[in-house]
Amino acid sequence: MQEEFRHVEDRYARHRLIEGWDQERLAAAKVMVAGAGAIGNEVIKLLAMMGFGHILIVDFDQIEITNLTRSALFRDKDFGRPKAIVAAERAREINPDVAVAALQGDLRFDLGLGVYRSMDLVIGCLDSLDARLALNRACLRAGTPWLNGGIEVTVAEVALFGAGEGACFECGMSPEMWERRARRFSCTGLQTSLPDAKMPTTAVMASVAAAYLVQEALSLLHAGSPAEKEGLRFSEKITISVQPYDTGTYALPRNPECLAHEPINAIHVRTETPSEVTVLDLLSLAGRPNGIVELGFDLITELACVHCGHREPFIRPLDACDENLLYCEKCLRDSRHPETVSWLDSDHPLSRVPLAELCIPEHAVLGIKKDGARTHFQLSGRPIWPQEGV
Amino acid sequence: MPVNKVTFYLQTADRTRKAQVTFPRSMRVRDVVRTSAHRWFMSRHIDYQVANSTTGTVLLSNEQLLPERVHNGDVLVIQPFPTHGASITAIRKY
Repeated sequence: MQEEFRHVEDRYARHRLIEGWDQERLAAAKVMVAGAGAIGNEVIKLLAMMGFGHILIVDFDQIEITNLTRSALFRDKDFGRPKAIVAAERAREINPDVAVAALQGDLRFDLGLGVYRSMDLVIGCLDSLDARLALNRACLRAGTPWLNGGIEVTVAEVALFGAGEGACFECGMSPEMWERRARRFSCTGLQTSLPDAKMPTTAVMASVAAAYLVQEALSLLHAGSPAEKEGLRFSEKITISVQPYDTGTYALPRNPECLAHEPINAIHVRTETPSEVTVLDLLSLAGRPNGIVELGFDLITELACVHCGHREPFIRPLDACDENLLYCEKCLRDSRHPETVSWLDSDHPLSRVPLAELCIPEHAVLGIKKDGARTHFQLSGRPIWPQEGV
Repeated sequence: MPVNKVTFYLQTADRTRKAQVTFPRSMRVRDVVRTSAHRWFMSRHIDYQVANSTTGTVLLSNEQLLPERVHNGDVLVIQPFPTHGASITAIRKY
């Protein structure tokens, strides 16, 4: 009698042949991809193909014609469209099983810490030091592991950072790098309006970096504990050179002077969104009417001209603005000064304004401080993946 | 070999520059980078990190070349710090 074999294969059948592979774990995973440029495109493509179930893509930028040589998800017709939105559309085409969300925004200002807290992993595919520093601090505070990918023309580098006692990205910053960064800001704290340098790169190194980043994501999600993880350990990096061919892994030492390792205690999760509450409401909810609400950033509240005295209400994070803001249209000179606050109490006029109007994003975590004691509250917001919730 | 000095191999990540050097133990890593960048005409537009490829560890910028971190005969590699998606140093490679 002849036996009959009928192979009924699903999309992931070849994955399941791999010993230890857990497709269900990948399907349940929540991964944020910060940056949808050259590396981000490759990472998103791989995550979607492999069935990582929930992907959030964050990028503030639009597609330029020069992106097309390194971005597998973008086409000529996409010129001028938001990178995050287009990348999400293409990822859904690649694999309709995957829930893909896109945020066209700046991860420094438009993403609440609660979003980071909800992720299993953040993959940094960024092209600026400032964005990496912000991502590092957010992930440390959220307790979420993150991967940093970086490339130059013939070298790629991937590093894994956790929330524990090890080194973070900022630990590797030298005094010279801080000095170089400081030169990008004027004495008012506003960014200079010089154009960013154009960086030469090819799709080859972006693909190399992305392959290692996604392999690390697989290793992390499949590991029962950090000790069982294959590949990089936390606070370790791998460099891959193709000219000449060479790879090396290096332990990253913790810098005892690094200021990024600020611990965050228990967080009280609230159901109110930033549109629904004010500073006054939050102080009342916390039972600390005489406390202060820490915004977590410097907020410009007013622009005042030191020459003509003209004052104008203006609400925006300081770091999100450049020095063009200093130009006074009344006296036609760079003579305005930004008034800023980093915390608000019940006496401040803005304490009655909904937090959303003070640039507090959905799912933000705010500190409430009184008599030296600090409590953290996480606000609510729309679900990242509508069918899933945050 | 005087105990207050250390002799090791220093090279750039792309291996286009390599030398055996002897430096005082009190020298800081950032000064190794500064000296190398100057002597080897390396790009001043990017930041560098030094990795000890013999021990598999990165050295912090303000570290000294202490015996527990750098041994005689080690190979130290000056690597570009990945502050961008790409750096402008290697533009001449193609």
